[in-house]
Amino acid sequence: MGRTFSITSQSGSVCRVVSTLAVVVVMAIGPTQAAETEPVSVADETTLKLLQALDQQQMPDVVLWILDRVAADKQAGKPLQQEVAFRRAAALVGVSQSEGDAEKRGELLDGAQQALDAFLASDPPLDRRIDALMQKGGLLMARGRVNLEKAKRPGADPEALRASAVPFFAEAIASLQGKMAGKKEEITDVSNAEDAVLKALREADAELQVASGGGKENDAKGKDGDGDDKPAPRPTKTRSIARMEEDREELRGKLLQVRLLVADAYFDKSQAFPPESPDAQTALQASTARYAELFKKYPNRGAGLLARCNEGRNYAAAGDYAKALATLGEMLAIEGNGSFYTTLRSKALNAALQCWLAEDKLDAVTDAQLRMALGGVPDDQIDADILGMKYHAALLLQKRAAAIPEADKVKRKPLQRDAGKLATEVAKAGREYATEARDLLAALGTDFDSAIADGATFETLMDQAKLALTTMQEQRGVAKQAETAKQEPEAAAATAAGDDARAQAISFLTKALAASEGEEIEAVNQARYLLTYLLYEARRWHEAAVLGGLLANRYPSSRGSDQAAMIAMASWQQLQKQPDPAWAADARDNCGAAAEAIIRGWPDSKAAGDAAVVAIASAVDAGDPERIAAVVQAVPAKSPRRAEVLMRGGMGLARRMQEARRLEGADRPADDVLAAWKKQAVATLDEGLAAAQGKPPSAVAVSAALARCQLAIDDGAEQDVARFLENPSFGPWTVVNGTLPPGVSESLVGSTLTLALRHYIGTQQIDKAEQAMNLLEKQAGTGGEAAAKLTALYLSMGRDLQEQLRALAGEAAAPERAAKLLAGFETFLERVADRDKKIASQMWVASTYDALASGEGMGATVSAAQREKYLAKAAEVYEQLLKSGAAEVAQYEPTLRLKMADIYEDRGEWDEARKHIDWFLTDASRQNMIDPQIAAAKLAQASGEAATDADATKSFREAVSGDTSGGRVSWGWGGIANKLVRQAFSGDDERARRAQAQFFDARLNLARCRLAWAEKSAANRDKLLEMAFNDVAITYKLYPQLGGAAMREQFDALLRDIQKAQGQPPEGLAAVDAAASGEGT
Amino acid sequence: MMMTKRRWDDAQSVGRWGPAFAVWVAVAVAAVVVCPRSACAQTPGRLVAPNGKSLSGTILGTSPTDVEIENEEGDLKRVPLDKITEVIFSDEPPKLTSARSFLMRGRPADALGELESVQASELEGLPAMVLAEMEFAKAAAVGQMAVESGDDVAAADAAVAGFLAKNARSHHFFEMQQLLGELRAKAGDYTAAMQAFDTMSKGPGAFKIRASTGKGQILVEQGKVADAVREYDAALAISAGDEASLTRKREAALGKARALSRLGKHADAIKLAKATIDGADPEDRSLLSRGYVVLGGLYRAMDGKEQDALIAYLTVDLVYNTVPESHAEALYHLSELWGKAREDQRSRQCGQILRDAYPQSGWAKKLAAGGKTS
Repeated sequence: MGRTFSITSQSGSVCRVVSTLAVVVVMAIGPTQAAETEPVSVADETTLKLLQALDQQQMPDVVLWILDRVAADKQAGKPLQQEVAFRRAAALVGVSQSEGDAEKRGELLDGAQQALDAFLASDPPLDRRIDALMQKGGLLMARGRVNLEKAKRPGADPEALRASAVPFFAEAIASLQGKMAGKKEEITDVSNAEDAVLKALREADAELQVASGGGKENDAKGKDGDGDDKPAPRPTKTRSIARMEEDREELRGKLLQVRLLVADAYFDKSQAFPPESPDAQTALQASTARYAELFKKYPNRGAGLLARCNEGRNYAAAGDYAKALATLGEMLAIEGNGSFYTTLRSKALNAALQCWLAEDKLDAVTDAQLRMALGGVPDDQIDADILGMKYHAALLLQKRAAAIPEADKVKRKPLQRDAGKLATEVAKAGREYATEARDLLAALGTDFDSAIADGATFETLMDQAKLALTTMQEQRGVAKQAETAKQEPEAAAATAAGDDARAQAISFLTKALAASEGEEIEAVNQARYLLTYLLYEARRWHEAAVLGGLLANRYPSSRGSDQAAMIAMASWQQLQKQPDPAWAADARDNCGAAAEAIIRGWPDSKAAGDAAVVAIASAVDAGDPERIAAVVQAVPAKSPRRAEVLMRGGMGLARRMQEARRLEGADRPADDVLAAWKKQAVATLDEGLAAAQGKPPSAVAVSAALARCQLAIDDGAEQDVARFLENPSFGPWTVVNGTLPPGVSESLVGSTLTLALRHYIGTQQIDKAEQAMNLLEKQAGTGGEAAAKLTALYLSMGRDLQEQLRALAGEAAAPERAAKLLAGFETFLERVADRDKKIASQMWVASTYDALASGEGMGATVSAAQREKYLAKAAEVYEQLLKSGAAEVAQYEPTLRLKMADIYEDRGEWDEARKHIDWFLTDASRQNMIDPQIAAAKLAQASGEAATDADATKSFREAVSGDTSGGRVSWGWGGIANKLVRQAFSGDDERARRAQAQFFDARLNLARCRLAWAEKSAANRDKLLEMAFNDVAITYKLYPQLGGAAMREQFDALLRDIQKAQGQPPEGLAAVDAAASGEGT
Repeated sequence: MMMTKRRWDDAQSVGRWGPAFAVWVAVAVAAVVVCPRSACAQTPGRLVAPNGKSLSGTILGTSPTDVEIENEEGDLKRVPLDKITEVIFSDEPPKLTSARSFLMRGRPADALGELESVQASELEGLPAMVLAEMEFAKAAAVGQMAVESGDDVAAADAAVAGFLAKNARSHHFFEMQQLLGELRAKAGDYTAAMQAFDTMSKGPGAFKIRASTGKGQILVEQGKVADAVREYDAALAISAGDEASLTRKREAALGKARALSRLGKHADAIKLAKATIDGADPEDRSLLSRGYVVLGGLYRAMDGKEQDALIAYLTVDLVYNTVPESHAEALYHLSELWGKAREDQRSRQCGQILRDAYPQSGWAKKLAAGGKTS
């Protein structure tokens, strides 16, 4: 007694009952009835007919669409408006049946109940009240069953959920069960379906009696379906007797339906109490008694037989298997065709199978019964009992197979195959017992897989794949729940089970694709899509990328192709992370191509917006302005991420332009190309920022605004700089002084502040400049590292300033703009130099003066006098710093001394310069530093070029061969080149490339020194010229590339000069080539 | 669409069919002498009115605008075509009657099947009017099929044009002109199609309206949408109050709604289509079917109105599904719209019904071609 017995309610699932009722109800209130009371327009009449048809087609979702429109339509007539509340309830119940999420199903049923209550509160006619009450009862039962289902979920609190189902069943019983059966009093309370039907029956009896002339108006008596005499109300309508009898018969049918539902509700209620509890027993007994009574009264009617079947099921639930099987046996023995008998027998067999399983009587089921279980059932006839029958038959077959001894294991296979087939059917339906069926399939495992793999059809393999996929998703859900609950072993087990299911699904899909010849392309592409998804899930990126790409490119209109394209793109993104740079670069290109394909293929989708961001990132990484422009062009105007794409694209273009501008020689694009890129960058950024205007500021918008400011500073468009820098929404200056949007990095803040500093200095907004400087110092923090950071920022600002001045050269307004800019800097630097004695500030002052004076190519914007002045100021501040002896300065001493040497050299103060260089060269620990050695050679070369003949020789000698006198160790250009050669040609990394550049520079200067020396040495002129020629020729023979085009040009020009000095034709490197091939002079 | 119903208004009926034998003789003689009537022969038959009642007698002759009949009492009457749904000749083979019925229900393939099974021996000795009716039915069936499927249009054009050349006094003259116009429009020869509709516009009110509607349709196909609206307005302005004309005007209004939609005037278009539907005879399933197909198309042309379009097409599929052309069109759109809504099963189901029920339809072919053909 008290077992939880998993057999569903009266005539299939409760939902099905409710749905059936809904159809009955809707048909009962068709448009004809409405038309009797009020004229109906053609449109309304059509809508009513459509609603009826949709009910028959079981399309409740569409019914809801229509009801929403009717409710909002002021033109809709009253008869149609009256339909809304009642039909909405039926439709919501219908929709709830296909809703997989129990929470959402509950919400839908809530809505249905509210609609029904609203309808009942409107005091509807009795016939419609009956239908509404029946529906309400069924609905409440469905809601209770939702909670019983939830109780079965992993991680649920079953007791609490079952307990929460009890009130639903109790309320359902209250809505359905009457109190007036067998009583003669007038029925006044029609708040329950049973009494409402009884009242209607009495009225129908009375009406018939009057119509047939057998009754008196004032004491008309009738017979209801129960056979009790009741006082009858006076009939009000005149209809044909046949119609009256038809209506009365229909009411009798409803009375049986109501009573079956009451018995069902008691059974469901018994399942909600703890097994063996008195409440469970009481409810089960109440249910059994009602079924028994119904069968006793109507042994030959369908309702009676269904009641008898459920009576047997109830005995089984009570643990009385013998009585259960005897009762169910009667039902199984009934012969008859049609869906009713199919339902009856499947219900009985389902219950009987559970009895046999409980008693371990695995051979009790007959072959005919197994054939019945294995038989196909049309989709629209599948209900919970049929699914239960199939599942329990599968379970029984599996147990039978397991009981066969190992020696006879070959006999297991057909049993396992049938068990798997049945379980697959149940799992595929995705309804009752689906989870249990999937577990059973997993338990059958490879036995079943191998049983179906041989010669399996595409369809079969797809079904298996989908089931495995569902299992995988379920296990992922379980793992997530366990992780949240910090149940690590459970999480690991679920993850492993999910992985197994995934591997199984991949295997089935692979086999399905192999067997797909002749299948519809949509079905094949669905397999491809699922496989793409699973491969990605399995981190098999490359396979996922290739398959997804195939689907997206060859079958772009197939369902799932857009998703496959996204997966392909995401896979390529993952592949970019691999260590092999060549593969990573390839993956980056493919990723960009995949993203661009998505934008082209599905321009209006949300995915296109995401893809556009990926595509633009890829194009920016590739540094390809044309590609950037193409991506920007392809992004639809309506795309929600268009602004972001524009801003990223604009930043990419600006960066590319700035990088290219720094290149020299043949690597540097033509000026008109650079100008076009810049124009494009400005336009793209302006459009992106305009679209971002008014939206919450983002890191991208702030970065884009900063990039735009940099371009504006280049153009001297200080008004534009101010406009973007101080934009109230995304202005970089605004956000660094307010709230930083998420994602804004420290370096972005630093760049903002240095740019702001430059801008405010340049526009003479000294207060704001100081504010920017203070913020920079604050951002850097305190300590040595902070000072280094700040110094680096200042140095970078100096370089930017140089760049800006250099860019000005050639412009018509260059002198004017430069003067303004320099004036601003001078004012500000003076102020800082006087007021702010912090080392970092002084370093900045000195380095900025240094940068203003020493940058190459700035002659057009910085006059010689200004340059001289800046050098002096830089030297002065550097000297003061060195003299301060401050601990912070010590770490910069080498840098400072090199700078000092450079400044003094620039000013022709050789001794002062040499003093700083000797600080390195006379100290064994610093002698091997390459930068001081280069500075020493450069200084010697410069002083040689500037000296008279005698002094020149000394200087040139040191510049060429070095000097080891007096404790100094300098290498000269020749020594420097020798020291660098190994490092320069030992690899291709940054260090090697730098060494290579220095090597060629040293070789070039070596030859230059000798040429210059030759011009000042009459005695050794020819020899020095020959040596100079050989310096170039040997370098060329050994390293024909000569460090790139720009350097090669310099070698070639130098060689021509040497050849001229030698009196030879100035053929340059061509002469070396000719000599090598025996043609030269 | 040709072969639509014509109304026979009882209130304006032919009145009493007088029994005067002398008159009968006089008219009969006149008929023989002048021979203005089709086939110049007499054959027993009956005229079926829109309300289902029929008038039996001897059919003395037909013209493009009326039918002359002598009733059993010997009264003579010219009955205008808008009062006649069908002319049935007593001597006609039963399969001809059946074929005509299929034609009226928009099932030309079934009609042709019936006609092809008529044995030559069954036609021997039949009156010329019956033989002409056979010729009409064959040409109409072939023509309707070509319009529906887009196949064999040239052959159909030849058959219809041949019928018209030989039977200029047929009571089918104007409806066959309409079919000719539709065939020529299908072939892309819009000038010839316009000429056919011009001829048709010389007919009674209902035909005039239909001619303007046909022209409007051609103008829409040519992209001359504003001109089309003017043509539809002209159709609606034609002064004719008989039931057949009113039905034609509703068809013209639906055409105008489509044209307005093409001009981007969606709200006006929907308002007009809904008003037309509401003003229709609730029993006129043909017009209602067309109305909801048009309404569906209007919603499809708008962004975010897919559900409304689905509802309109579902109305055709589930409520007004007895007109093959409209039903096929609705099924095609349902298949597409359900597909876009990711309701694959519903999409497939609609496609399957379309293929099974209307395999020759242009809509079935369009679906098979992935929506790329017209």
